[in-house]
Amino acid sequence: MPEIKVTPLGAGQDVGRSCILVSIGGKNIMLDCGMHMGYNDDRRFPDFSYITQNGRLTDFLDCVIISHFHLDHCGALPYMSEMVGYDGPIYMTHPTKAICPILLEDFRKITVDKKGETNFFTSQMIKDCMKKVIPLNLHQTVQVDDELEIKAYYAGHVLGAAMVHIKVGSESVVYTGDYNMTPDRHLGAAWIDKCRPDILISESTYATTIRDSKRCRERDFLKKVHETIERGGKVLIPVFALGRAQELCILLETFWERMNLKAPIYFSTGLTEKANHYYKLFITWTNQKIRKTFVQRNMFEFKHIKAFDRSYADNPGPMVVFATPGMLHAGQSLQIFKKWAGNEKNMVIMPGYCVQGTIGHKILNGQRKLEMEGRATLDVKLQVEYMSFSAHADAKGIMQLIRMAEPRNMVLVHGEAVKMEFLKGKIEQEFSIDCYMPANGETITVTTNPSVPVDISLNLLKREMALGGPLPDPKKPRTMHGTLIMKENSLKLVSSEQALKELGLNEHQLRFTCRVQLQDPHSDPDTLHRIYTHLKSVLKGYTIQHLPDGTVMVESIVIKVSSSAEDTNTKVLLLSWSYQDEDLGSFLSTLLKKGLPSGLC
Amino acid sequence: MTPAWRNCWTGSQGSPRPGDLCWRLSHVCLSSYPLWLTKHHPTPGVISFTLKLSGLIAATEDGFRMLQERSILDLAFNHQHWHEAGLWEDPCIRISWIQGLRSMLQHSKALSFFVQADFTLPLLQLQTDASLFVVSAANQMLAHILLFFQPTSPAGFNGVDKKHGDGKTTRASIADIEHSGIPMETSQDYTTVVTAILEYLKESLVPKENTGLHQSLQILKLLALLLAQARPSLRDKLLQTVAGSLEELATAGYSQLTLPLMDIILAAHSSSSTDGCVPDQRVTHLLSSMLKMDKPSDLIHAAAAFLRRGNQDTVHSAQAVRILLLPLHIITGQTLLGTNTAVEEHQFSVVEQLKTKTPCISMICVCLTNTPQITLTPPDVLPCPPVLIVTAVLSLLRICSGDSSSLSTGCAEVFRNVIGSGKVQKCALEALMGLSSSPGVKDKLTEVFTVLIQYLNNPDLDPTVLHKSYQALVKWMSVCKDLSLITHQLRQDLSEVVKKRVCDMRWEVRDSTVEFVGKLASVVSSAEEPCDAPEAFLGGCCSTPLLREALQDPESYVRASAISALAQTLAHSWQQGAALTQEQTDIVSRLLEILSQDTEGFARRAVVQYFITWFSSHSSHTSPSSSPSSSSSLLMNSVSSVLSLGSVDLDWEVKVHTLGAG
Repeated sequence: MPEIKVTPLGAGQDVGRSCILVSIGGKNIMLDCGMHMGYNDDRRFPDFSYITQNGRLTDFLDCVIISHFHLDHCGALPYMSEMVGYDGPIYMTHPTKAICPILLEDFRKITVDKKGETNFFTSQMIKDCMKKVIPLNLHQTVQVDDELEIKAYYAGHVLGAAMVHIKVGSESVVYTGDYNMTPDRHLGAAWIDKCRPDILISESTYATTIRDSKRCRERDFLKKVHETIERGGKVLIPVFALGRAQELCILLETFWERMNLKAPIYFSTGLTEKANHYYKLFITWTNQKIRKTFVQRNMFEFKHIKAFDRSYADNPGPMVVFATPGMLHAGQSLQIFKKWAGNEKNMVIMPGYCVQGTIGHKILNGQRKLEMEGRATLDVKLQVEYMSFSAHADAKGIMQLIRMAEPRNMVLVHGEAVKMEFLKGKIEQEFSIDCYMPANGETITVTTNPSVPVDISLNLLKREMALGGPLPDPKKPRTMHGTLIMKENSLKLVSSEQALKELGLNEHQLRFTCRVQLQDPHSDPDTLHRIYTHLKSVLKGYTIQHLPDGTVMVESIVIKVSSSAEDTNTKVLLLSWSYQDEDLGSFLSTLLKKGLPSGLC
Repeated sequence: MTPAWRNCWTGSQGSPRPGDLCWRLSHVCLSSYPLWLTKHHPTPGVISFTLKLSGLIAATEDGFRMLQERSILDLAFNHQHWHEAGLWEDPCIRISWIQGLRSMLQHSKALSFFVQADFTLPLLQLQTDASLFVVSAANQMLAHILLFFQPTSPAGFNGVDKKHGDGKTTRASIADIEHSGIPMETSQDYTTVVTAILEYLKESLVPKENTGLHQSLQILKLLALLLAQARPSLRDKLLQTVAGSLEELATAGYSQLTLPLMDIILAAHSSSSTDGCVPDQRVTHLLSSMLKMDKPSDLIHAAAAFLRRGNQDTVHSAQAVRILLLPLHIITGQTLLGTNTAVEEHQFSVVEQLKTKTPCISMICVCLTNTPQITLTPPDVLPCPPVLIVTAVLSLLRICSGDSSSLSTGCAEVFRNVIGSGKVQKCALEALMGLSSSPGVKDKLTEVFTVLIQYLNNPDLDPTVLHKSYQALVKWMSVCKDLSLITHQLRQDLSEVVKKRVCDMRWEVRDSTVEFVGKLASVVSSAEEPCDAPEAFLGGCCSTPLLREALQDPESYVRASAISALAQTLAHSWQQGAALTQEQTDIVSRLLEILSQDTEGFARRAVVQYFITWFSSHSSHTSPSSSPSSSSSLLMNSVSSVLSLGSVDLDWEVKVHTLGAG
């Protein structure tokens, strides 16, 4: 029986680096190629040597698919393609292809600058890697090769995030990457066909969480910003140009409007240009409301949020500033932070993960004295808050996706083991399907029932119809008889006559013969006649003929009589029949072996 | 409640030294550790940590004794206990159990502990674990035990060792250096472990049914680890034990096992022959049977593995080369294997395989990947001159692009499988790059140019294939040096296609083209007879205007590549001290504009790099008297602008480059 194998090299019972290997129908696919942000050594990248002990990665893998631009899903890609040496196809959506190199470059700079690492991928490698990427459109089936096809579906989460349906023959797998089943302020909700895959591989970050907690976080965020503003402080929100920044801007804009607040909100100019550029390019990836708004006005033409200028940082009074980069490692956000760090009335809110070595990481770890350039120290007196606003499906959302796709099996990844265990129980109970949660390096194997599509000839269908059967219905299986022709990768069921014609073959007749000895003291013609009479009386409804050439025929069965040379009373009956009449032929030979009744004339 | 043994780390200042750790453990922590382990239901993560730590401490005999006295080792490594507690299912416990033992097994006392606790069987069972990581760790551990404790003298295995005539030391391994003088009890323990492991290998190497392939694969991996480092006595014992099973596997023809099996046979073959002995007859026979397998796709992989190992065996090398060249011979119709090809035993089955797309592409790619290596084999092994292999690869490239002139020879039924295949095209182009250094192929430069320009002209060409075509062009030009072979017409054709490609819709194509123009300039400058100006190589096409145009490209990657390519193109004129042109002045002002305004760091970094290159070539090659003053003053003025702009750049790399320039 065919099998599908799933092996996480990362994201198995953890939320580290996503990298999942799927073997389906003889094809090997890598789903995501992420980097673990918590490690500084080789462990940050997946260990590809487990899959390539006897050859090149390119020979083993048929393709790599990246679900979205977050580094825990794509961070190891340049390492894999340019340093380990993978030269095969890499797929990701258009927005991901556009945004991914910016994140990779940003991370490379931090790693080389803050940590002084030299054995790391270079800008050139990032570019060379991105040149190998084949962009995907939503809902477009892409043929990787003759057998393997992939199709991307909208996943919400971040701009360009996609779920992917992978199909080889009749076997299929869906991989969700990170997704969000409820629309947020600027992105839509994830959606997929009822594609009934053999396996649905789903993230489970918020496997035990329900939606309200996000609302609580948002309320908390607004409360903290509001309190700081009220006491005359300044709020710095370091963000990456794309991602949650847009969501938080819309959140604050609405809150300012509702509360009629007057304190200015700014966002750094780099952020505006970049974000507008990508949102304009990929407007179809945002939610309907944003799409409508975009027709009338620029997405960042907010009433309360204005473009930031360097000089504003020194203005007295409260203000809120969104500035890049998100980890406070360089640029405008760091400059503003330096200016505001000394005042305890101010606040910095970190809405995302910070890599070790960055100012962001240091202050989140409680460091209050920072060594800056030129041996100067900076006293951090402002309040530091961490609030994650990542958009993942909660338990309800995951169940909703299962209902949508109707998978036969479920695999949970990208989550904590304890939470997964809880969700696994719920899924198995509600949907009666097997749910797996492999650890990193563990392979799960799912056996599939292959359905092989076969074309059927119209003649054969008509013949079946003529026999009085019900009309063909794809939902009701039924048996068909015919000859299966396997030709040039296609399978066709036709009538045997058509098969002979198409293949240019002659029909061969297969006949069975047998001899039966019989004691009958009559002449040969008389014995034959007696046999004819006997069979006439026994086989009602059959065509029985006594032919002038000295034979009796019952359907295709021919019976001849001859006398034994030694004893003329011993008759030798020669029976011959075609294989279609095998049952009747066997019956006749058994019948005649018993002899003829004495009363026959 | 935090146990005392945990506090002893958490409360420490800075990183403790191993000696300190042991001291603290012995005096403060260890007494509470067993109680804590059994009573406080620690999490798998903590248990995992303690297993690894116990192993590290027990790596020295003192540490081992200390832990043993407190029964910590018996407790921590009692896998039954973890089974019963339901924790063994967690792969992190299993892997830490292995790693802990692996760290500990550095001395004979640890080996005795291992043997007495009967850990061999559970360890062998972990070889078929569901986790890749556990399996790999188990294999490493098994190999470690067998290799680390193997005796240095040939008396280890009850008379099974071979006598080596000259008595010289055999292959050096790390174990040789680290380990010597093994006591008697260790030898007994070692024999016990070796016997158990070898028995297992013998029993389990051949799968009982198809589902057992995973186990066979792991055993083959273990054998590969062992044969790479085993001393003759252990190696001979291993081979003696598994030779029969290896023969059985070789004849069974499991495709999945072909490569690992071939690795074992080659390792056995080469290790036995490097000892100065004639290779074992059984191993040689096995090797021959692997190179006579029925299934063409397995056969070609086996041949490739053979060639990769660089084996000196002439007979088998010749056989491997013929196997590898056969698909190319069939597809292209080039007489790579001589005219009498009917003698090729596998020809029929290979042709049949090539008619199906997936195996066809896979086989031809293996063949192509190995062609550069094939051309380096001795002439008596090579069935044709290397130049003929280049012709065949070029012919294949033509077939792939659907060039009808190439379809007249070769196997027509196979053509449809390779026409338009990006994978085959990329492999063929890589092979072509590798073949550029093969002996006697330089005359092919013109033909290579013709085919590659045809490729570049193909509007449907995949960007990655186009990139490799450019790379192949540069590689051939840099190796061949004599560029006079390239006709004016070819240069004209190249120039036309470059002009077209630099305006392509896809940024990947534009970037590869711009990069190519830069590299071309470098290659032309270093050619045997460099042109007056590198850009003259491209005939009527002037590369500088193309690159200037590319400075406006909407994609920052292309802008950065254009700046680097301009530096490469103009380097020649800078070195010659050529007079300043209006074009150069315009370029400088545009570059300063990019440095001050471009939103992307790549482009700004490239600008700084441009001026660094100019400045260094100016100062090293031009004497003040010969330099036109206007050029010098332009450079000096620009450098001061670059320094002032770059030093305030928000991108630290731009800043660093600028300061470097300063």
